[in-house]
Amino acid sequence: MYKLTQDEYEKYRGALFRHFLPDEPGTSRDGNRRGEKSAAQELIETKQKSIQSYFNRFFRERKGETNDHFDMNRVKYDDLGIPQDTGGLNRLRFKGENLGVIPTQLNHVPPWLYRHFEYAQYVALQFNQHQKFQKLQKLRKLQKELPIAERAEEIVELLKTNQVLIVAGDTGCGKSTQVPQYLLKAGYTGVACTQPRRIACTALARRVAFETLNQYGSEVAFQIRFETTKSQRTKLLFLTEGLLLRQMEKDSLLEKYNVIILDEVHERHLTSDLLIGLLRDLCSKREDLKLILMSATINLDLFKGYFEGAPVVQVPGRLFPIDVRWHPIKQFIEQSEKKTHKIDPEPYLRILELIDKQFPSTQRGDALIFLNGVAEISMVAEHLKNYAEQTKGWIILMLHSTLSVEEQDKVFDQAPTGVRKCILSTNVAETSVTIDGIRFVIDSGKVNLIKHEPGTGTQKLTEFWVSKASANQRKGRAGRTGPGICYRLYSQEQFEKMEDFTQSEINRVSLQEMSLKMISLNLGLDPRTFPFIEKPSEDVLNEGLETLKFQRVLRSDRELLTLTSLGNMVSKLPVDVPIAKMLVYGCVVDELEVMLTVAAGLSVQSPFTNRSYRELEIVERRASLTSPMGDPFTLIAVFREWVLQKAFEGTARRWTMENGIDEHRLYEISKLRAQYRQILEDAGLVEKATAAETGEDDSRQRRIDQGEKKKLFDLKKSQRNNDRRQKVLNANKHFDKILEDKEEEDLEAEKDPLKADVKTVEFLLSHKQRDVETIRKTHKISRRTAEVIRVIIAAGLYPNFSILDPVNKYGYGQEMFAHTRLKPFAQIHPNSSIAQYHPESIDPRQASDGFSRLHQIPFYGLLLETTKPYICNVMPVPAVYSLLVAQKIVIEEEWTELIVDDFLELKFRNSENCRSILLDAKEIRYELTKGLATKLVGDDGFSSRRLTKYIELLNQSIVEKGIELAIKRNIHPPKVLTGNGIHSPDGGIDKEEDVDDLVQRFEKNDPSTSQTNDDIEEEEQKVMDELRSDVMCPPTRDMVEEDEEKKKKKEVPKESYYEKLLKRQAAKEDGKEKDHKKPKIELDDVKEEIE
Amino acid sequence: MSDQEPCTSSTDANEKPPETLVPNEEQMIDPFIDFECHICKMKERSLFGELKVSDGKYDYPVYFMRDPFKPPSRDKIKKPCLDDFLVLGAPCSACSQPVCMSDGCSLFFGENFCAPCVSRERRRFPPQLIRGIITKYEAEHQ
Repeated sequence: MYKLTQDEYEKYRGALFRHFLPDEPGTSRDGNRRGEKSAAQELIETKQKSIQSYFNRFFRERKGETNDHFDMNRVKYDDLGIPQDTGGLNRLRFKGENLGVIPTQLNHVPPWLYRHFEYAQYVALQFNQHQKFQKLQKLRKLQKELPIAERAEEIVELLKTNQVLIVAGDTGCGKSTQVPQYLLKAGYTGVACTQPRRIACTALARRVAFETLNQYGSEVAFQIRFETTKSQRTKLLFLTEGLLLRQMEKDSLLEKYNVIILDEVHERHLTSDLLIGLLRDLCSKREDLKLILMSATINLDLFKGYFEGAPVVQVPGRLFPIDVRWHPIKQFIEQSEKKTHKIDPEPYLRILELIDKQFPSTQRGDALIFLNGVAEISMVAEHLKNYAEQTKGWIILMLHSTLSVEEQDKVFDQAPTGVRKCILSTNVAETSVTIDGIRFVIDSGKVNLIKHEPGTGTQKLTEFWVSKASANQRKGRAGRTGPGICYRLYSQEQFEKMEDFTQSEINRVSLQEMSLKMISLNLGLDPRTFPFIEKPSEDVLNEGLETLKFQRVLRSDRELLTLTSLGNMVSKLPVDVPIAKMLVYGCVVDELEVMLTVAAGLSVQSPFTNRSYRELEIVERRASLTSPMGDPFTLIAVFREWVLQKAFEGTARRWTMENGIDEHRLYEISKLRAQYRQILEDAGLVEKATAAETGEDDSRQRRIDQGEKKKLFDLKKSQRNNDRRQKVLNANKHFDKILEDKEEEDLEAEKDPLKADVKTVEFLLSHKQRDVETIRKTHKISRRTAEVIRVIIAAGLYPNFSILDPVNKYGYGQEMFAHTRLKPFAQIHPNSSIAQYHPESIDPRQASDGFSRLHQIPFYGLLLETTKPYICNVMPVPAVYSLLVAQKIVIEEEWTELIVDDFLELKFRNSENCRSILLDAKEIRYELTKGLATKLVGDDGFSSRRLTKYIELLNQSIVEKGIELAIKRNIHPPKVLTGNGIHSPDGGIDKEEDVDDLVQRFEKNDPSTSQTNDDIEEEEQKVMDELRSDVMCPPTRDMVEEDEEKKKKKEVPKESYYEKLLKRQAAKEDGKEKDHKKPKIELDDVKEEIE
Repeated sequence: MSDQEPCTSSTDANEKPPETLVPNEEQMIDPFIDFECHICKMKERSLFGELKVSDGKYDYPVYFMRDPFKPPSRDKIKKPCLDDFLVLGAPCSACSQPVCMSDGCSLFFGENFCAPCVSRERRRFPPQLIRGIITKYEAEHQ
């Protein structure tokens, strides 16, 4: 019998711990300076704790007594190796090297206590092993219990003998996580699995890597737009549908994959429909390729029919039982046809009250409300917030795609005990986002869908009843983690009346971009004859093709669908046609930097957060960033300011918050810029930066880069490796206040440059001082450049332009009508820079006869119809700019009137004015075409100087020479424009040279084109000089700006951007700021003073 | 052991020449073997052999892998220790069949024994030591 007293143990404890488990070097007891412990130190502390608790138990349960001698040398074994006495150590699976040998410095410790301590330490080790083993065991058990697990072998066997396999299973069956693993186990090495959403790619890759015990390796990887974890070792890759499609452009046989899994095909996205068709075709070209389609069980027959003979493995889903309760709202039944009713939040409140009454707050479970749109969500949320503030029983949150990423993330945080969270969501929570712990679903039965309206170019956002399939999907969200309840705010009769499935995308959207994609694959595909899984409407398809022809992307002179040279280029860029055209023109006029920003900015959501439009303080503060020239210019200013804040001030986070900007959007813009630049460089449209320019030839710079890259790598890695820790929500903070804590935290972190987050490091790494300088310089736009940029943006957006209403008052808070060719009485979106800050800048201030120098026509990026038709991304330009981009110009008899596209009529005071303007316009048109052709041929012979000069000249004729015009709108323009070209009064039509004609000529190297350039330029210079020396002619804005610039430079050589911001702020508070709102094009105020 | 870093890069969507996902030669030499517990049929790819590290060793060959739940140590100087690994099982010392570490499948007492061998030789073990494993084993095999 051995005995140990507490006192004896306490006496030697310190020495023993120091010997066996010394603290990690450099750690004090309460962690290091930054309050974080290293993983190794944490491990040591766990072990220390578990040894301590072993001895505590030993004293408590066995009173410090045992028969174990813990001495290896005394044990006798039988023939099977079973010990004949229990010496303690015999229950240890592993042993130390010097078991039982006491080191000299511990000679004062009794040998038995030393051996006992040694034993305790190994028990701790063994306990750790055991826990890890159990974790693995539990994981395998969960996998085995999934409904799909029974079919694992069948799936692998079927794939051996079949090329195509359909796996159909509902929510919770485990198909998305398990099927790819079965393939890996069966030895497949090039597996691609597509997902409709980026978030699913990363989440699945993470989960599958965990389950295949390759969490920290790269056998399982994901690839989304800007991020990949792919390496040489990758065997299974989760990627978005769009990316796979893009890979097909380069490698039409997709030879790097031997199995392709298309997941969630039942959602019927445009890209997945296209991929299904393309891959079915690919299967006949590559016999070694295996294709697996995974879908829910709805509409399974459609896929079975499309892949005739393919075996189907059908698996039941797994959900907890859900109780459906019908709570129809009367008003819906009465006025279901009426479009503009406002939502009544009462019924939703009543359901929350019902939940509070029926379920004690000790029972956990959150609520999810499905509503159709953001307006409805805000309305109901406000109402519920009042209730929540009274009862303290709920936290009200919102979820929709226009929220910032941080706000969206909040729905995953946990509510504190006794409080439930209530999430108001659009249909994104139906499939895209899965929130655990939902017990109550409240379904409005409504959804907003974007529908392309053929014939008007409008995207129409309309409220619909959901389909049965999506109503059931919504219901299912209540039963993921336990039994749940679904409250449907409509009647069972209504449910029976609903469509079975939601209309697929191919039947809802414009097919122009998809058609372009198909043609650009170079597989000789024609969307009109392509065997789609569901044939799209022929009208919509033809309309799409016609639009492409009108945009000069498709050749209109051939029956076979062929891309023009411009089309070839445009299709390489992963953006919509108008934006791609802007980029290409940006290369032509050497304004790539700015155009990269505009193009990227127009491809992402607005950087201004939705919330910020309602906060007066923010709206006022950011006024100085907005431009009277429209949203693209506001975007340029915002991006420039942010880059400077990022690079020089290190207070970008604060700045974005103060200005209501979602920083993620700006990061996206900066990444997109890099991507577009890369593509344009690869295509030879711009020159690659040389090593000297990028600093790659500088060894010091290289070393710095290396260090930063390493840091970024570590940061990313640790961010990925750190499991997202669930945070607990604050019970008093609802959707409008949830970010407060996070914002404070971020601002605190920003003060310490060492705590830079991944995105900041990534940004700084990709933006060298030189890049920042370039942005700083190029994004500060002089008037001269601004005009060029306006012209090329207009050239990209064309034919999306509108005519202002002659009787509309364009002032603050007014409804601002703008008539597009096919959609009269559209409105300028109230959130656009023009409507919110600079409405006066589009007011023509015409005389009673309608003549003015200031007539403008707004170009726009998108025509979106919600409650009203709105034009978004608005950029007004002088009306005569229409002459630069239009496809049909008719000159009226007297040479005083020009009719543009049978829609816009420009009337001049006299024929000289008209002739001079048209002459300039024709020059610019020719220069644009020539420049484009030269670029597309790959020649750098083109100089944009002449183009710039003509644009300047044209502009001077209006602003300075004072050519006035009146504009009129043809109220009934023909739907289709025919007879393109410039029509003279004598009946002659100047067809002008097409880009492709020029391209052909340039390729033949015809020297006749660029001979007389020098003469013309000289003459040109004369005109310009004359203009400048004319005393009567007021100084151009350039001159004024140059002067100002000079002055400024002398006065304050190096003012920090933050100081500037503060000053601006102060200036505003002083009263009416003097000039920052003054639109650059409005020169007449100045002029009047001079005159 | 697959503790090489994944190549993380934030490249754009337009990729460099297609990287094939086919394994290279180095990967063809595969040190991994399939471990399958002959009792519970747990199946894992694992390494097999002696595991001897800085803070302890197994006296007999085991089926093991690098701890899959822990990021690989970035510290190159630090010697590996037992906690960096996960031991799945070992051959039974009596019948030599592979058996996993689970409480219901094997017992360690001086040597590693699988449940059937413990059950057969039950007279040789201290009774309170083997009560658990025998009940579990017999409950499942009746």
